[in-house]
Amino acid sequence: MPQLCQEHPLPLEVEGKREPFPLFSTSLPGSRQALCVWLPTFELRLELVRAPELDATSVALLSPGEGTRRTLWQVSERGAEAGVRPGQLIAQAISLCPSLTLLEPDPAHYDAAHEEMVEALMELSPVVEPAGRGRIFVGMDGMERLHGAPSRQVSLALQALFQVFPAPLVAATRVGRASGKFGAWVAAARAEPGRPVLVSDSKLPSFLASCPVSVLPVDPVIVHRLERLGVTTLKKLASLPEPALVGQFGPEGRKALQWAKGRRIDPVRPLHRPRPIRVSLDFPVPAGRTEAIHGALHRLLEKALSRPARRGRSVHGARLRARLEGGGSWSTEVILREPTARKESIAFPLKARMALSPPPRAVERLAVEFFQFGPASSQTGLFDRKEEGGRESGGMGLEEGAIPPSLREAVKELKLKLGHSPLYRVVEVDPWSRIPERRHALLNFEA
Amino acid sequence: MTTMGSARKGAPKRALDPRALQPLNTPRPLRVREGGGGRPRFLYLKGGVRKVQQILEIWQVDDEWWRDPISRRYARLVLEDGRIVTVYRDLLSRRWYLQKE
Repeated sequence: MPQLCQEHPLPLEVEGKREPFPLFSTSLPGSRQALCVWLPTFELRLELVRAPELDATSVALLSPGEGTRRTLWQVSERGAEAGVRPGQLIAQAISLCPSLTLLEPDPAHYDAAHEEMVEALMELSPVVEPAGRGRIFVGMDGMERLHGAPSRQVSLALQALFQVFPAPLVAATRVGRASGKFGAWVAAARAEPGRPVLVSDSKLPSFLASCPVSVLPVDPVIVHRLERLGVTTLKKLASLPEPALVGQFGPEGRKALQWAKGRRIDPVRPLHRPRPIRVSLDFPVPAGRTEAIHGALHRLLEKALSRPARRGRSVHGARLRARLEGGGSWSTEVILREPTARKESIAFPLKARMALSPPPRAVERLAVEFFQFGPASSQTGLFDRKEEGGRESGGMGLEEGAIPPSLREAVKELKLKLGHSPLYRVVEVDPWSRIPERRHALLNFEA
Repeated sequence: MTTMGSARKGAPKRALDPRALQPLNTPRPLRVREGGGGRPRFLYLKGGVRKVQQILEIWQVDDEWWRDPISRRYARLVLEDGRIVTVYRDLLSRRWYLQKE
């Protein structure tokens, strides 16, 4: 298995987007001791397991999405040797390495492999928290009596992976163990395949001191500014006074300092996964027309919403997957602003996503999955009535500053009950005033 | 958010009664222990006394001298708990206030 590289090897990256892992205060329940199991370039490695004949060639995985200017997402070491880099345009990459094999991403396959990885590690500890594909934190508090010393815990984690992944994939896995997710992640990023990095509590500050500031799970702008100020390592950061960092970066500056000093321990929190609702539909002949896919989407949503398992819950997260003609898959997902059980409210954002990034080939099978749920609520919001001026009409028929009829009704009801109208709106009075209290004011809805 | 007087063209303009307006972000009186040069050192907030770690910025606002004069010396402070607050001293009444921006 060749060494692989991807666009941002160190920072906490989830599906091409750099974002900090969820942070929790130490007062919340969870496991303090964290084991980070990380398979870099997870997706490309899975492709190479599927097509071992590509192992000795230059291979690159295309970034998810459709467009005329597609870029590379992950590149094999042989490709990197030829100058091919993640983020390059296809044309650039081919000119650098004419023998480069380009692969279309198969997100459904990657998600399924990630699920298997999570399930396998759950046998080791009940406290398992995924942080993007191929990177999982395992809580190890109280596991010494069951699994032995930390080094044995690492071997057990790798043994668990052997149950679901072939040997080359497990051999490429990096493991780090430390107090808190940040320490464990940095340890895993510094580890080499087959050589885990285990950091004890007493060694954590000195271990972190030599790390670059780019490992901090903070806004990249802060990292960039620190680097420009010459603060390149966590040791340098830890030597700065706290008020100065808070003054420059606000609360993020304080967090960064605590991480740099090894004082902030973010525990691993157990994953709560509601069982998803999945429905699928096979097309008699592969469907390429958007109208046909939209029709199928509506039918699938109806079917999924009527499932008994959905009753009593609204839908917060929905995923649309497709198996493509000639192999491969496509998927897109949405997290709805408000949980809903209305078909149209789920279909609209899915269609919008599909319009931005449509399936690259005709679809053989379409599947809908609800994976996040909200509370059951039949209460109607003030602004979403189907009357004129409500959300249904997008407020298009209203004059600026006019009150929707549904809201006027609500004000009337409240006035009857309370004797006065308690609803106000914020109006700009003198937005550029140097006196802050002159800039905005509250105005009664009826005024 | 609507802007007064920015109603859509053609729509009949409605005069607003100034008495219907309630100011937002009005400053709250604040007890402050001062240090050298009249600079704030401790703030007596709802949650208790908070030490001022750093003064980020100081500026003065003098306005409306033609009617009720306003003269305030503002300071943006970092407190010991990491919060950033804006306070000012009314230079006419010599009182301190907490100002929401």
